[in-house]
Amino acid sequence: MRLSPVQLNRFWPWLLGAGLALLIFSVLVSLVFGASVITLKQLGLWALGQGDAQTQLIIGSLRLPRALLAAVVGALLGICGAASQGLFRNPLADPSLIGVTAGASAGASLVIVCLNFSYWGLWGLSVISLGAFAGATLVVLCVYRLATGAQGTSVATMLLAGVAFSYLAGSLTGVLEFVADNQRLRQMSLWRMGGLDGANAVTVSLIAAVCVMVTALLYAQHRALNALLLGESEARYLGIAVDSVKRRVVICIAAGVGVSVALAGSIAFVGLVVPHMVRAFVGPNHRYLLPMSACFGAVLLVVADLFARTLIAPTELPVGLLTACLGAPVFILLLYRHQKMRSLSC
Amino acid sequence: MLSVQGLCYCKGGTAFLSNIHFELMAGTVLGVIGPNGAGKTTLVRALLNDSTPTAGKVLLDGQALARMDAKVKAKQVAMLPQMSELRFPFTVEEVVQLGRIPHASGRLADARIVDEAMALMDITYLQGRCYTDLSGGEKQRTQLARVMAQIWRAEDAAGSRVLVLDEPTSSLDLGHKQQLMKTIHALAAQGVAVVFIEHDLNTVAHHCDDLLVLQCGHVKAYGKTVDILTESLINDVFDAQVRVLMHQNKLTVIG
Repeated sequence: MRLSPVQLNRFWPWLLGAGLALLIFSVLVSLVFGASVITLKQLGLWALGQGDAQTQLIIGSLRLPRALLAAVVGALLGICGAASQGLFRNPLADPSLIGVTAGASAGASLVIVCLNFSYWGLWGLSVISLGAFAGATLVVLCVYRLATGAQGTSVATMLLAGVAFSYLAGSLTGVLEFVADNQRLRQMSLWRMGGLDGANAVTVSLIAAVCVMVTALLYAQHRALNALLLGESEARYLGIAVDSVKRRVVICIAAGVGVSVALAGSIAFVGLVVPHMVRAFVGPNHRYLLPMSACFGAVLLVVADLFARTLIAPTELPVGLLTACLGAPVFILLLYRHQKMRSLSC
Repeated sequence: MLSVQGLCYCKGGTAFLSNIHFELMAGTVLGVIGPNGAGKTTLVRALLNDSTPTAGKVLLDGQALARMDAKVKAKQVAMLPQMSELRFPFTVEEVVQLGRIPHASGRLADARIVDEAMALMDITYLQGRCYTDLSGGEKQRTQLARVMAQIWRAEDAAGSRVLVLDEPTSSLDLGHKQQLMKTIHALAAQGVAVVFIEHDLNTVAHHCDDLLVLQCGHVKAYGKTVDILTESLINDVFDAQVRVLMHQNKLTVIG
């Protein structure tokens, strides 16, 4: 059920409001449920500053930062996914296609293996996160430089370069895995599965700042991204400075996904599936698609993290593992439907 | 107003266009014809600086087109490429609205222009339909409405308006083709200069004031259509046997 442009225009504030309300509701639910259930009364008392010490600990230092981190990471992955699908004019393009995730994994593995003091950190950020971010940025820069020539940036080359650099980063990770001892091997594979347990006030405020900037910058490009869907030449004929738009969008994607992978590990398929689902309701217009993808990405990851914490409580599943288990079948379904639609229309 | 002087385009040592000259006055329709691979599409792409010409210049109202501000240029010059890459499920109305991106004329004015352009291309009944579900001809009419919406009003443009169409009739049925030609003449009557690549020589003979004939990247002939469209030229350029007759004051090409 796709909303028409007229309906969208009229109901847009309500739609966005409903999305945000759903996000707040999902955060509240994830505060209440967990290994030990907090009643609504206790939650209310905590909100008024009169909670007991245990509630204070569970909500204030564990569940709230974690839920907020999940929301912000989800929002970043959702909006960056929507932007990269628009940039590549391919509804199946995911930010990890340009090498962000593989680069981050290699960076993190390098830090885990080569540096002993892996939990020593700067402002509460572990060195692993910094290594991951550096790896992600480096790979994206290489991919971007390789794909940019005198004729501008070629999107096809960028996808291929992304695959090539992902293999390169993957082989580096493989070598590191081979030389690592058992404890570090475990640490590396756990990091790669993704987790939100490192959340604290510093990481949350850092990533929230990145999220606000990335969202604002990408939203400012919504008209240009719409024009780009017609094709690069067409966008140029419409007066869009295509190369600077591409540069800005790539930087936003690298920063957004890089930071979220650095802080929460690789969380698969949110960036791919969320824009798809949102597009089914609001269509491909980036004016609506970008904010709604951020909103639903946040909701999805908060809910996924809730399940990751509670499914086999008191043990926690890595949330990246959960999204991959759910996301891969959804992706296969999308491909199947895509293929069927194509064979019908041709 | 549009003046092309010595335009060349080379790539990888091959000359795709060499030394193209022509002038286009406001309100004229220029047909560009030539066999496959003669450089027609390369010419219009180089014209708009989408692929940078190796030599020569294109002046619009005496100003180099390549150095014009992209937004200002987009308000004056619209181009319809041969094939559309759009694979996202926009509605027809949304696609036509994209033509208003360069303008800041306000939502109401834009909505009116979009409605008028859709009515002119006879796609109003399709406006809520998904672009990706349309037939080839319907897609072409949608894209035509989009480029027309881009240069719809003289008051939005800072100077002369130019409409460049690369094989706009390739998927249209006869009725819609005639409707398009009527629209092109209406735009020309408002002072829009139209450059238009076409394979159907009768369409060219009936509707183009001027004609540019390309062969292997060179200008084979250039001038008034009635003067230069002859049997020997067509035979020479297309290697095709035809007869050119004057029928009810119109050139008619019979194959």
